[in-house]
Amino acid sequence: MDNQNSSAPTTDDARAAGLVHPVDLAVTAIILAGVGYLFYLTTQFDEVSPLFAQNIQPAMYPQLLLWIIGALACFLPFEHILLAKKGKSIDKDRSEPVHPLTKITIAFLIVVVLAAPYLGMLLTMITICLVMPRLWGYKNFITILLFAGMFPVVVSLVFSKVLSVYFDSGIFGIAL
Amino acid sequence: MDAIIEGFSLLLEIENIILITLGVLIGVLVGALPGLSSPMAIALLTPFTIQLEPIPAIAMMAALYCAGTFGGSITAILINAPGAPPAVATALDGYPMAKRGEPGRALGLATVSSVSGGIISLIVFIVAAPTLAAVALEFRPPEYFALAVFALSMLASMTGKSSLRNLISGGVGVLLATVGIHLTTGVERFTFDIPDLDEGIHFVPVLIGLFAMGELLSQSSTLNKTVERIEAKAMKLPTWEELKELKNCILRSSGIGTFIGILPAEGSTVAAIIGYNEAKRFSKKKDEFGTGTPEGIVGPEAANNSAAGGAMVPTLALGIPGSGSTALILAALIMHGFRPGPYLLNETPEFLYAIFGAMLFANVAFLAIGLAGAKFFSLVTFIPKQLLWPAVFIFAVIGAYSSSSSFVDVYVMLVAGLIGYFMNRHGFGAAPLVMGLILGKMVEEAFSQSMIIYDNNFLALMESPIVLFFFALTAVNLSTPFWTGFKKRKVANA
Repeated sequence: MDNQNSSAPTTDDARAAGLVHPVDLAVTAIILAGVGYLFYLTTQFDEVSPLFAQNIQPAMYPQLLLWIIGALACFLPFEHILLAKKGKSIDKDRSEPVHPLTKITIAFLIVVVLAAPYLGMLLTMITICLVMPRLWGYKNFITILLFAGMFPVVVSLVFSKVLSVYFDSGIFGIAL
Repeated sequence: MDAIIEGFSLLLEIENIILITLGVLIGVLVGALPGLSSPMAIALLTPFTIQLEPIPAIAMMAALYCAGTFGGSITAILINAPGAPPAVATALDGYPMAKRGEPGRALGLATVSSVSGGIISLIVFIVAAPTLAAVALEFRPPEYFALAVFALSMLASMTGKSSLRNLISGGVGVLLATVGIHLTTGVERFTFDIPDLDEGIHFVPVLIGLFAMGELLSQSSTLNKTVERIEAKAMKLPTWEELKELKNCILRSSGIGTFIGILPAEGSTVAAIIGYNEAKRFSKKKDEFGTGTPEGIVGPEAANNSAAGGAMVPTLALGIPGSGSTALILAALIMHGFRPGPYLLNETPEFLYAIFGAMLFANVAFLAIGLAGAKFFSLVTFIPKQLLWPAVFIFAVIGAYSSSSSFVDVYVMLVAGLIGYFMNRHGFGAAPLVMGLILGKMVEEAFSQSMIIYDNNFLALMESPIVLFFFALTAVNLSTPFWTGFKKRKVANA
């Protein structure tokens, strides 16, 4: 944050000085790779007889879209020049690396979602209520226990009994 | 007349009144909590409304949409953190007024201007929607194609970091809409041999992932930020003299907001910013803006709430979303088996009046909620993020799961959330993607039918003056970001 307040050029300024924005160049490469792969897939679509297709083959429209997306993506590495002239910075939210807590949260979300079919909905909810506040630095353990004990039960009761949502009970068979 | 009576009588059923009131309460609550937004709440609510009758379900969402826009002003005024993006301009004068010891007055001004703006836009909505729908009945596939292309081009001027990124997001959304079996030929496209994808991408998990999970991950990096909270004991309504002074500002902002809301893709945030700027431009006390002037609160608030009513006009009359939130309402309509557009209003006019009634009810309910619950809603902001967001995550998991009782949808939700987070980090908005996803089917259908009509001759489309008109608007729209930049440069160099 400090370097933003000083008169020294920031990384944003350095990027803005160049013709090509390196991060956006990488973003463009990812988009173009995706577009290329999807375009290849469209070439594998079954073709139908012209009479049946009425001149509109199933691949035509997605291919048209992929061309448009690809063409638009080619402007991305240079867009920062136009934005800079408008006084906008595209780097505001990405100048800092991904926050460590965000990475930990992503890992937790993946683990808990993959474990959900085995834990069942109720245990999954209790796990989320117990672990996530602690991960995010909440220190009042009594509140966490109350939250983990009451919130999932209330949610389960409301959704299963009132809204008739079926909750999987997992391998432990725990459900309300 | 029968349709009006039928529409309103639907709302008078006690069960529906409870649902709409619930929609208003959830909307205000969600709007008041920073990070939570009405699109997110609508996305989370959608799977649970599938079991309801379509009209109460959509009425509940419409009420939530209106209330969410208003709710954002509470936190904008009390903690200088807009609960929802449309309240961003309200904080500029709302917070200074609250800080100097008048939080109740600031909330009162925000409420009265929100209610006024909302009601004015609803009057426009009830007149304009059937009129527009009647005009649109004359549209054939080429006109619909041109209209949909114009709506997509409006993404270029939607709020966001860049026009180009909004257009790419919208394009990806349209591409996602091609997943599944091609209706004309029966050929599978991008299904990767997964049977669940044959019918196309399930809206609900994608919407929840993009709006709720993406925001959850963004919030995880802002936990250390502390905010100063001002407690409001009661709301203080403006005096009659004060209202007379502010009358012109409210009317002007309501007009601006309604017009901006009607434009496809433009939402309440743009309306609020323009409402604030215009309030300042016409004010005799320009220097007082930013220090807690009443005009600085009523200008954006009347504009953002009137945009909510305005946005329902193209959504219901044309099937073209007027904003990110109405794109979600449109998705819900499709899930309830409706085909949004002029035929919907023509065949089920009671639907229009039921939505109108629900939104009117929501607007009046703000006043009651504001008067009775200002203290409660100011306390809501004290809920720790560390408990709030796990609760949101639980609702997201249940919402994605319950749409088809399948964990595959929960995985889809998580993947959409991760993609949404990284997209947002690089300036690609979720709202344009959703609008592309919603409009995608319509664009392809209209395009295919047009090509069949004109024997694959694209230029023959231009024979229709309506098509030409929409294509001209599209060209203007797409070139605007470039020529405004050029104009600014010229002014700067002069």
